[in-house]
Parts: sequence; structure tokens; C-alpha cells
Amino acid sequence: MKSTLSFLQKAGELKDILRQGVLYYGFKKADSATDHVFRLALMVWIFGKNRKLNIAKAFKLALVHDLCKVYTGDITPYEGLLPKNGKNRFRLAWRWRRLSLKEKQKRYKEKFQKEKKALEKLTRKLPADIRKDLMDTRLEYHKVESPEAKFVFQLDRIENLLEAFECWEKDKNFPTLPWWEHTDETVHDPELLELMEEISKAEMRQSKSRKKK
Amino acid sequence: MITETTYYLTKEGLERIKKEQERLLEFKKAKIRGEVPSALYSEETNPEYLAFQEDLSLLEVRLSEYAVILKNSKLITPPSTKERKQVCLGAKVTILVDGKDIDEFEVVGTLEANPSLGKISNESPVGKALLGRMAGEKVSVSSPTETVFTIQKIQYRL
Repeated sequence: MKSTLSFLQKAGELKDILRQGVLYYGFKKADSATDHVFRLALMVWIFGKNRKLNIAKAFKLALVHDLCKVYTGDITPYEGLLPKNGKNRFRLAWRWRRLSLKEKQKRYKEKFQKEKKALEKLTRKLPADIRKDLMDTRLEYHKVESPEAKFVFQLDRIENLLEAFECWEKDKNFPTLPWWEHTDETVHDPELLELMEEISKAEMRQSKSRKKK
Repeated sequence: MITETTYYLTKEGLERIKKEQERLLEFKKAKIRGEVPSALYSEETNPEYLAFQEDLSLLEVRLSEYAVILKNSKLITPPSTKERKQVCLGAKVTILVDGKDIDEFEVVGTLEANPSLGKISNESPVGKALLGRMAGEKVSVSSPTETVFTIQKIQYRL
């Protein structure tokens, strides 16, 4: 029980890990990793209804997908690509994913290894069966092959988009375009595309009303 | 959600699904015989199998999904010489984004999509916009701000 308590305390540190994606664009009040996971879990519940999915597994995937961040921090795919300072910083961030297939594969492997090591470290002292469950679930999310992993992966990107949209609501200079571009490449489920359409309409409505003012 | 539609798969993708279906059928048979399925002993046991161990209805759902997929699957094959000039399923596409940055995608079916690897679904907004277009063409995706892609190169694994 001591090791389980220690694991839970460490996992609690996710509450203090801020989402780097929006911080790069100068938004100060970024969500934490737990804020993200909380809403993602709600989305799994709402949009998982009436689907032939193992919903318990979908919740596990949502809960585990960012757990490694207690050690890695919030790794973004542009890790190491951005200058710390300089006027081009934002433009580079904007195009962070624009890479060759070979480079994407390389970064995907590197990110996976880093996260795997972090999760191994975090779960080291947990009972073997729980540890295996956590590690396997993380691997399943990474592979994006099972219907549940595909579903949660798409929702994850939409939750990110929603966060970006909310940043833009608070700061008119905040760019939502990078998140839109990312989601447009990721989401293919018809119901989730409909959700994106709703977010798009909300953004356009507000944009129009801002212009009138 | 698995529905009666066409599932486009590469040869590797089709093999993977067939193999997984076989493993699940073996798993089911072992369960019916009252044995502990050998798949549970494997070092790399799919965690899903543990759920199947507890709930056979989940296993039935997954098996019926695989049956629907295999019944409605279509193998992605290299297009004819004439069609190779345009983006079809299986194409590797090099694009210029807003006239500045180079990006690369592979357009695949939904079952094999993994955007982190650059494999995007033919049913995603970007995948849909690229399909049927040719090198030199400009393609725009706007939701809600417009991004313009210029297709630079289309390649196929032949």
C-alpha cells in the first residue's frame, strides 16, 4: 500500500504541469495536464455512448495517456525545434509539425521511448498486474490501432482544440489555426467531425461579433 | 464505430487484422473449452484480452467488427500509370503549406491512420481535400481559417 500511495502522490503532480502548447503562444493561464484529462474523460463518456466500444478501456486510455508527463513534462512534438527566444519563435511554433515522413517517424519513436521510460519509473513499485495494465494501456494508445485508442486519440486532439478556442476567447491575438490544422489531419469520425464543425461555427460567430465592435 | 462501409487497407494492415481475428477466435475456442487461453501468458498480451477474459460479450463485439471489416475491405493497390498523377489512397504526398513550409503525408484508410507518423485518414478533412488532386494544384482546408496546400509531389510504393 505504501508504494501505491507514493504512486498516487506522484501522479498528483500532474495538477501542476501546464500545457506547453498554449504557453508557447504567450498565453499565461494554461490548463494543467489534469484539466485536460478531466475534460477528455467527460468527452469519452458523452461521445462513447451508443458505440460498440469497451468504454472502461477508453477511460483507462484517457487517464493513462498523459501520465508519463510527471517525469517528462508536457512534451510537445516541437520539442527541441524551437529557439528559446527570438522574433521567429512564434512562426516556428506555428509550423512545428511540418516535417518529412522520415522525421515524423523518428520523433514518434523518440517520444515513445522517453514516455515509456518515464512510465516505467513512475510505476516501478506498483503491484505487477497493475503496472502491466498501465504499461500495456499506454502502448495501446501509442499504437492507435484499437477502436478505443482511435476514438480517444481523436478526442484528445479535439480537447486540445477546445482549449485553444477558449484561449482565443480570452485573448483575441491567440492563434487557433495551428490547432485547427492539427485536428483537420487527425479527426475522421463523423460524429467528432460534427463536434469540430460546432466549434468552428462558434469561433466564426464570435469573430464576426468582434469585428462589429 | 464500425458500420457497413468500405475499409481500405494496405497489405500489411489487412494481414494484421486477419492475424488478430485468428488470435481472437483461438482465444474464444479456448474459453469455450474452459481452458485459460495461451494468449494470456504472452509477455505482450493485449490488455484487451484481460477484458475479454471477464466479459465474453466484448470479445463477440470485437469479432463481429473484424468480420464486418474483412467482409467490406478493399486492398489499397498502386493506381494505374494514368491515375498515379493524382492523389489516391496509399499516396505519399509532399505539400507546401501557405507557400512556406514543406510537409509530407501518407493518405491511408481510417483503420491505419496514425497522424503522429504522418499517416492521415482519407476521411479526415485534409485527407478528403487531397484525394483526386494533382501535383501543382492548390488545395485549401478551411475550418475556420483557411490553410492553403500546394501539392508538390505524389509518390506510390510500387
